Amino acid sequence: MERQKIEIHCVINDRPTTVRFDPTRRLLDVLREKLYLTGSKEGCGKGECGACTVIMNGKPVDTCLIMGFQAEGATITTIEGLEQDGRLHPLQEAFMDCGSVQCGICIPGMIVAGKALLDENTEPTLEEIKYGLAGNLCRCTGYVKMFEAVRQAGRRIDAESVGGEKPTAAATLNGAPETDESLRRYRPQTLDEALQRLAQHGASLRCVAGGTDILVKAKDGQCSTQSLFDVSAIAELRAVRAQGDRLWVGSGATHDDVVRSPLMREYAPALVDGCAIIGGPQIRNRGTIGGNLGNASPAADSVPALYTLEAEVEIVSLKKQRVAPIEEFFLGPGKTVLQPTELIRGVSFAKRPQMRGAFLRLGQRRAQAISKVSLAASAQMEGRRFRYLRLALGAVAPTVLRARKAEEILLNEGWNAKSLKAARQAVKQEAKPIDDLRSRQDYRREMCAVLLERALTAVAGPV
Amino acid sequence: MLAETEVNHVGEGIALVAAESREAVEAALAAIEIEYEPLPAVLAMEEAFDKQQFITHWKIRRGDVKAAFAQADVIIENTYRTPYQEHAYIEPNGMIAEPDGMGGVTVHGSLQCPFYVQKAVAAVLGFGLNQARVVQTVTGGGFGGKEDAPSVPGAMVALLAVKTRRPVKLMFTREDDMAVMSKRHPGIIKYRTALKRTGKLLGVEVVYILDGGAYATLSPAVLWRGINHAAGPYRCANAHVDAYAVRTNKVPCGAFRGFGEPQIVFAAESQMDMAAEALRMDPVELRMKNALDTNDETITGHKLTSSVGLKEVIEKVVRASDWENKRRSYGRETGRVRRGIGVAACYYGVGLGSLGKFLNPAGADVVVSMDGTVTLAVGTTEIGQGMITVLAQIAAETLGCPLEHVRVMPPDTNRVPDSGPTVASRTTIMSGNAVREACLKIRDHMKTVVHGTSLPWPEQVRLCVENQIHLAAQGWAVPPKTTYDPETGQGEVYITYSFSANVVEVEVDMDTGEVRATRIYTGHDVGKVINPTTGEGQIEGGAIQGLGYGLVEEHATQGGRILNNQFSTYIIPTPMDTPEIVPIIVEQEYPWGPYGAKGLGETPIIAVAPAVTNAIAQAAGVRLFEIPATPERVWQGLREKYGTPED
Repeated sequence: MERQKIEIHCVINDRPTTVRFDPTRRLLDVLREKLYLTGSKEGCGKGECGACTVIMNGKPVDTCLIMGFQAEGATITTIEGLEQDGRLHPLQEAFMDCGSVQCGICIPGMIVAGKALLDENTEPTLEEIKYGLAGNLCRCTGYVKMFEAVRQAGRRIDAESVGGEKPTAAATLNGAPETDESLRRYRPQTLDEALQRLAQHGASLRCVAGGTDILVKAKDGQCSTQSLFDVSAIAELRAVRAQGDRLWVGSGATHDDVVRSPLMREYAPALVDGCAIIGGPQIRNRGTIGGNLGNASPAADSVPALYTLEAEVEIVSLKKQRVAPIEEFFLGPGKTVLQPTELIRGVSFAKRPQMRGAFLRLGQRRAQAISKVSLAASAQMEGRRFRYLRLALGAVAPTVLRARKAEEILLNEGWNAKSLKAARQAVKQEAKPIDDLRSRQDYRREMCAVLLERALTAVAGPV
Repeated sequence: MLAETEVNHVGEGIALVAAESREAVEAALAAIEIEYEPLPAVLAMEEAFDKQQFITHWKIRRGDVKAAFAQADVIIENTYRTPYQEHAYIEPNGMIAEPDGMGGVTVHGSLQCPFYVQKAVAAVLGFGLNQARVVQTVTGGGFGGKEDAPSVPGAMVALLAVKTRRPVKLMFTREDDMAVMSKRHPGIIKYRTALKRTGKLLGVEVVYILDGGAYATLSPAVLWRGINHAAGPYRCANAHVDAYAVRTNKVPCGAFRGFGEPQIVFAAESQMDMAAEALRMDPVELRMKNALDTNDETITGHKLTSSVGLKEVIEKVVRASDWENKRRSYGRETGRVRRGIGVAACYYGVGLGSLGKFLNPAGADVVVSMDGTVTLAVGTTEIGQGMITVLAQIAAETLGCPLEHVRVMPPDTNRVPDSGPTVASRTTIMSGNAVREACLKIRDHMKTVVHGTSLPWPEQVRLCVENQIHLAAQGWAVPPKTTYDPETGQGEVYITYSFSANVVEVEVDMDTGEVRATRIYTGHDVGKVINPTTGEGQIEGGAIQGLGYGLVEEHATQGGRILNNQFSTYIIPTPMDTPEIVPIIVEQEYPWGPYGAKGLGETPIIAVAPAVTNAIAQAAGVRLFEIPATPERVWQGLREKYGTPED
């Protein structure tokens, strides 16, 4: 059966572009099959390899995890847009000069990710380059000649002041036709619009924002792309702000938004740590706090910190608003108290001065890893005593878990070798890990104690 | 191509469906109902071995092993296990076929070996080879995974195209590709080593078992290469080796860079380190004492007469890594994170050797156009390893023309004779020699009107054109003779060998068992490096694949099904996991190689994993007999050695 096509307007490679397509198509399909921009490659379709990376609104993103209609109004640079006036971008030249290309399939994504990095900083350190390219897999080169190319390109951009400037915004959508009415069905602009539609059709819709979980599930056949309902255009959901004596993070705030927020750095350092380690840059630029909550994975890396901040989840529907303490929000893996007509509006938590925090995790590798075990600690110190201490464990139970016994010991006894030893024992009893593909039960249990000691040493200093 | 009466592994094809859209294909597939009658399955390779479900059995009978072990001062005996390794090329398999309108079919695809696909297409359709044309498209990585495996999808699309008289495209999803396409064989290696107190390697006794999966595919060849290198790159006068590929009801395993060597080299090089420890000898010293040199014999009795750069390679990586100082100081660390340094060496018989002799030759077709540009066609493929660059260089150098004038065409089975597969680190040496021969012929034709090469190239070509000189030629490289006796496993089995040694530094977290490689010094005797940059690229890429093999990569199976068939669960190294890599190239020229070149594709991956586990052994005092060295395995070892923390 033919579905009604939709139309979007966006700026692609400095050209205002209008394109019509089937609403179930991903941005990657639209670029490749409708616009013949076949430089972006599909290596996995799940945001794991980065071969489909483009820069969208200034940030590198995986186009396999973005629905086509989510690009409405966006400014996009694909690999094809890097060449200017017949001259290759300094990164493209440097990749050739350094011998950074072997089979070539990962190169478009790798270069685009490198450009996003150099757009912010033309003198990245080696560690910054690795972090900036961490969302892109290459199987041929061993990466090292790519690191060198990025470094050299940065120098060339500095020397010539070309190619590295931010998108010129020479082309904009001014005067572009109004947003297609049929598009609004998939992509409401306001919270009210979204809630009205959810009230009517909630049971048959699945909310999508960053798409970093739901489009993975869609590829696995666990949900249909026909039911997707995009809440990422609702501006008010994207905010991170202070609200009286509380802090508020909109459900649409991305992990990257949290990492960059001075408020979060000051008052929620554990949350910043957690958000900074999720996936790679492309995932952090799209994945949202609301998505991490709604997906309800016990291994979610932003959630343990929210437990330690005693966050409350604000839930809205057309008829009412309610607040769920974070520990009551989750019912099990993939299960929450959220009803089909409801949306997560945001999370809030108390603004506590001199908050210290840490989030540590063990994964199968150093980037793009799903936690085997994780631990968040948030604390306020008074000398060697904890004025406030909350600990939460990830990936060792059906939901994230507060380590209450360990907290109690440390709150009562302060920070010393004896209390540490007791807390280590307690946290191992509190964890309820299992064996799975990523790790083993006994290892996970033991590591809870190791992470507890390391996180507390980070926030409270050596015992 | 498709199962007829029995399905022997998960993922084996049963029916083909073609439609105009993905949705229609999915709907059609969902409408097919299949009733299976369960049959007994053998899933574990030990069980298959006990039931003698052998695909192949190779052996080496050399010298007198009993006497060697009787004389030994030290005997090291262990059993090792190695995992599946996924090629994880970033481009999944994909093929397009279209009828050519003249009773034949053309297949375009992501592949390493066009002539393999050609034979498969012809066999399935009952075509002559001249009706089955295969053209390689730009291929997003292979590593052996696109050696024989693409023959099946290639034949599938060709059949559908001929039946429907329309073009047909087949793209694998990442999940399907990982679930059903070939992988590196898991292995079990039972290894005994006998040494004198002086460090002299007296002999080895080895049983080498590979899990072949449900069909033989390339298992006999993979196993053969493994057994031929069973003792590592050392003199070994006495050897008794039995190698078996066993049949299990799992996905067939096949070619993967290194081709049966990484498994057995992990065992052999772990043995060498334990032998050094037992002898209280530096691991480098023990290796140098036994390292193959000119006029030494390999384990197959092959006397090496030229281009034996192993000792030079070892010396260079040892010097570059400051081995002696680090080995001394790292051994004494006591902190929570401890450093270690490890070494491992290997060698690699270049080309297919005596087992694959009918596939050995390679052709080239070179045409100089009137404007002086050069078109080069060969039957081997570019899969990221740098063939196009290297062959263009060889052509430019031999013809005396500018490099920019040379264009290397995509391999096309209609254009050049069967040149065998693009495997076994054979492309530079085989296609390189064919290109060189064709170019020498052209220079020879030119000689009648052009004296020397002092005139500018276009001028030389103009003179030739005016004088009606034939500016085209074919080259055909046939390698020197090899020999093999299957009863003893002895012979001059390969034309020559490349040599390699790695020194790896690691940091082991004593609480979590996490291992971080910090530096890899990786040296290779390649005969002659045609292009140093692409040569380094091969070394660096192989080092990281080898590091993945040693530290993180493995497949889990359940009921014969691959459980982790996506990039979030099959873990390969990311940029963040990449250590410093120091590539070192040694050039002991091989006279028959083009400009002295041997091969470089595979040595970089082979001896990384054992260098890592040898470094872990120094850092943490934990010896691993199974890879990958996951934190869980290292932690288990730490617990067994030091006990559990008291909490």
